Amino acid sequence: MDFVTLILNLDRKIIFGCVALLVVWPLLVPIQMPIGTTPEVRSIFSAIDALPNGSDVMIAADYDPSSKPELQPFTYSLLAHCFEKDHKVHILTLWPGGPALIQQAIEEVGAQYGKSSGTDYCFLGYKPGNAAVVGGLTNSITGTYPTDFYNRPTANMPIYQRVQRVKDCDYIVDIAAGATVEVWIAFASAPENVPMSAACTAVSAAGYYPYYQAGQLDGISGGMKGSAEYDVLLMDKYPNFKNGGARIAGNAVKGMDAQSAVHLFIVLSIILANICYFIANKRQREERRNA
Amino acid sequence: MGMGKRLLACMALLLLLPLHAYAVPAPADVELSDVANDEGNAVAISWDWDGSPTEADQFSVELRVNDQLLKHFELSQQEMQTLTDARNWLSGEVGTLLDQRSSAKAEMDQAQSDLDQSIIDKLPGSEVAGLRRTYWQKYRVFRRLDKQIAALQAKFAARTYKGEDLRLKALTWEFLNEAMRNGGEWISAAAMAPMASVGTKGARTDLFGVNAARRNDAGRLYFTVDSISVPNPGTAASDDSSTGLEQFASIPINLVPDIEYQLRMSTYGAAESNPMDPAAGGGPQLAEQISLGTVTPRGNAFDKSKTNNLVFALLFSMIILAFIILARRNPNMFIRRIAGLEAVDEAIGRATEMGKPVMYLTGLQSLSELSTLAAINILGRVAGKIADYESDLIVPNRDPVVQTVAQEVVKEGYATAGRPDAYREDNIFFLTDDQFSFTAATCGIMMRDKPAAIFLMGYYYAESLLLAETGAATGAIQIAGTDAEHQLPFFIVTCDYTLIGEELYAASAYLSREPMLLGSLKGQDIAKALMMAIILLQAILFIFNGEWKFFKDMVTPL
Amino acid sequence: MIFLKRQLPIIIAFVAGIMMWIRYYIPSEVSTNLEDGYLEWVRIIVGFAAILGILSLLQHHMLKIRMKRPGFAFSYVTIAAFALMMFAGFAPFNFPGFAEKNMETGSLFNWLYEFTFIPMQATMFSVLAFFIASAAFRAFRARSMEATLLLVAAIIMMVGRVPIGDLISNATPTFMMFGNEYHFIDFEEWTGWLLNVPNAAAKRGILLGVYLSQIAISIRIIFGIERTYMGGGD
Repeated sequence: MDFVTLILNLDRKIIFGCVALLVVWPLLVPIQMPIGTTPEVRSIFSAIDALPNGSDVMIAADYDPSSKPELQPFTYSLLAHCFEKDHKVHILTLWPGGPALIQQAIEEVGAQYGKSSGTDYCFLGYKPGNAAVVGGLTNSITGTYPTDFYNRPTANMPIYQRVQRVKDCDYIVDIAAGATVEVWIAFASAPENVPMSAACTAVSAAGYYPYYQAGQLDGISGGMKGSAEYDVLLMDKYPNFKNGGARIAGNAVKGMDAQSAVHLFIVLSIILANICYFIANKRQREERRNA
Repeated sequence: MGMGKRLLACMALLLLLPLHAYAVPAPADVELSDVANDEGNAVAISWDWDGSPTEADQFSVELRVNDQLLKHFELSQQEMQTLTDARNWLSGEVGTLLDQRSSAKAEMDQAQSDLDQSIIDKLPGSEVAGLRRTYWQKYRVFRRLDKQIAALQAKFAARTYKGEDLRLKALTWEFLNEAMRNGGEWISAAAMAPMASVGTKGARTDLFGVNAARRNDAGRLYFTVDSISVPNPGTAASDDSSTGLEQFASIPINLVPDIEYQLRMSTYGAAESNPMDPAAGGGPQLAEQISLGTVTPRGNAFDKSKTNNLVFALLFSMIILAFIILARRNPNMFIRRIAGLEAVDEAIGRATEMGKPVMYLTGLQSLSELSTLAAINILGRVAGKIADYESDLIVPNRDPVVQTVAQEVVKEGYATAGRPDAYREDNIFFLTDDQFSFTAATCGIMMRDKPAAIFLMGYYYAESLLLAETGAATGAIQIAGTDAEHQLPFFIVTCDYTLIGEELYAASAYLSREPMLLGSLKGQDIAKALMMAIILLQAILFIFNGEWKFFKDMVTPL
Repeated sequence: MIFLKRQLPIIIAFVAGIMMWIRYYIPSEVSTNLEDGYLEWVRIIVGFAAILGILSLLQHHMLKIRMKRPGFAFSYVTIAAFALMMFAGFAPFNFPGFAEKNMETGSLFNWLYEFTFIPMQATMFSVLAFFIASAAFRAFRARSMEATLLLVAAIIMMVGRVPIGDLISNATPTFMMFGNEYHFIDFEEWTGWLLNVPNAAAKRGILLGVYLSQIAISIRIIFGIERTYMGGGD
């Protein structure tokens, strides 16, 4: 069997092996490529940054462990950014697998900034029924979530003396692994006129561009690259992230080398497969002509 | 004039001097109005601001309450009694617990610092373990007390709320009464807000000229007021510290429809050298108080800003219904061929030949999503055909409600095909509601049972490629149909046929060939043509810089 | 019986559908309360569905074990894992070695979640990377004009969305046009254009079609023309 037929009939386990190697290697030996930022992510960053200190930000972290590598770094960076600006954070999830991840993030980042639950932030927890929950929040946050994740009544919390509905929040960010962005746009952001951004998995990012162009989303962050860009912006503006806050920000940056390597591998393998495909085609044609 | 009074006057003068130095210009040409298209609990203020506002310029709005409003908040004798009883009950129940909790907290903190110290001092492991045990014990005691208190407060709320916001109402009423008695009858309606952010919050789209406030005019600011913020009288009277309810710092209450409010505005300015730091003698300084006039919020029966939505909804519904009626008269309508649906028979036939089952997935969303309903509708049609061919049908589900409905639908499909005996209920089962566990389980079934045909209908997320690629690896004929447009590329490369977007919704009509359903497809096409015309017109108008006010309002997104 | 199975559901669907539609246009308190009530119902029904799901799951696997169908041993694993997680979540005491009970941080349930469930989920998701590589390798061939376009776009996107794309772009020489400086190869610009122009245009077309279809299917359901979902054919 010659090279061309070998490539065209390559066992997929060999491709799997190459991918595995290319993911693991850069994680062990980081190259630290510089990361450029895109306008989509810059506009999320500047929107959060432009809010007056102490604004209310509603964060919907609608993902579960399966998309943790892509979206959890964004949650960390966004929380850090909000707390850096003393924003009040209302965080919740529409995904049953989400609470444990959010709890981890909010408790860790909250502790680093000395923020207390109920005053500076509230983790509302999980409620089933996407649109039903978001619709409920536009009427009353404490009515939809009578208790927070830790089972404390929300109506008593200082944070909810000022804010009652989604309308009272200054910004919404949906960190979504699924199709919840549309729900937030249709039931919260658009009718209540609260500006909104979305961070989603790289796969679904392309799907939200129509909303981005129509101005219904201020910005889009796609996958780990988006998170890495946000980290870079954060580190540029707030230098203390570079030193003390390394545990909070910069997780996505580490993953970018591996992603670069795998993308490059896939591109090269597609090109190789196509060259072989052409050679094989040409051979066939010649054979046919000879016969 | 005594010495003290003279001194006071001097201090007042001293205070006044900087005020004038930092005074911001008073609002001019103030317009008060009801906010259109709301529930009737908001009023709008718009005004000209002389000069450009900065973040250091601030203002607040206050309301004057009247007897009418007080009456609105008045409690009946019985309600008053309920409230007093409940509060007495709470303070009786919770008093000792609160003390216990604070001492438990102190003990816990002590235990924690002991533990921290022991770790820093590098004490032997057994000692550290002992301290850690003690800490966890103290922690649990504290948590238990904390939970008990929270539960009691929740009980109190349940006792007093009883369907309406009785406690809130009572506290507010007490406060308002107090305010009237003491002459401080102005009630803060908006906390101090910086000028720079005015008009961004809670503002609604101005459509069809329904918002009286002309906030689009240059230099004109717009603000809506929808609640009064009153300090908690419970804590002010300090009799709620015994109940642990003192967390209520202030209580916001919505404005009441059809009651006249008097408004006034306070403006503040700040020293330029030191604009926002009150500790250094800066911070906002009261400049002026201006009476704005009176206004009454009114509830609206129809939200006029949704007029365009209503027009389009009625228009499209009418077109679709009209075509459904037309289709009853003339059942032979032309519908273009959809390759994926033509292949359904082929796929099921192949499964029968090979003696292997057919797998059908309804997507990952719940039954309330329309794509799932569409998938269920197709399942009904496909089940009938499968019963005809005498193949097995496997339907794994992610949602228990969908599963129940799928069972019903398949059963009916088999019955209609005259093969109720071939129906096996446990072939339509629930797996798990977790996305990737569901995917793993379904892929497992694909690998073990090797179905000859796989239908992937409905809405899919990131698992689309996992499912479709596994299916491709088993060599099954795959027909996918989804409106999850970002998953379409994956289905297109891995499946034999893919229904794109609306084809999923058309499939049920296509398979059944029922005239009424086909009619709705036709109506939909006409509606789509109309939409295309509107987009084209708007694009042309935009290119030539034209504007047609009515048309622009019609197509403005909400 | 036929009334309960056929007419009544259609009447309910019609009344509820029309009511919720009209409600959307009315901003008054009554309509807000109506919506609140409706949303509460939805949440309650979703809650009950969980019980239905558990029953179906157990029934399916019990049957599999009883009939000794192929792979029935896995059903034991499923049931055991289900029972363990449930027990860990509801047991009113601390398991030895765990500081907390139920679902709190530091409990057995939480430990199981964090160290078995999360890694397993992440594993499933990351399988995607391998599958995409193999699917791309097999399926992306420049067979025709359209396929070639798809191929070129895919390559630009893949390189342009990672830092290496920036490195390549910055390494290429620049040229001046209309007073602006451009790189000969500029992946950021190209990916931006692909996402914002052809991608967004196609998505919009599909979305408009989908939403119109959703309106149509809603009308068919509200007016009882489409009844397949109720388990009744025609």
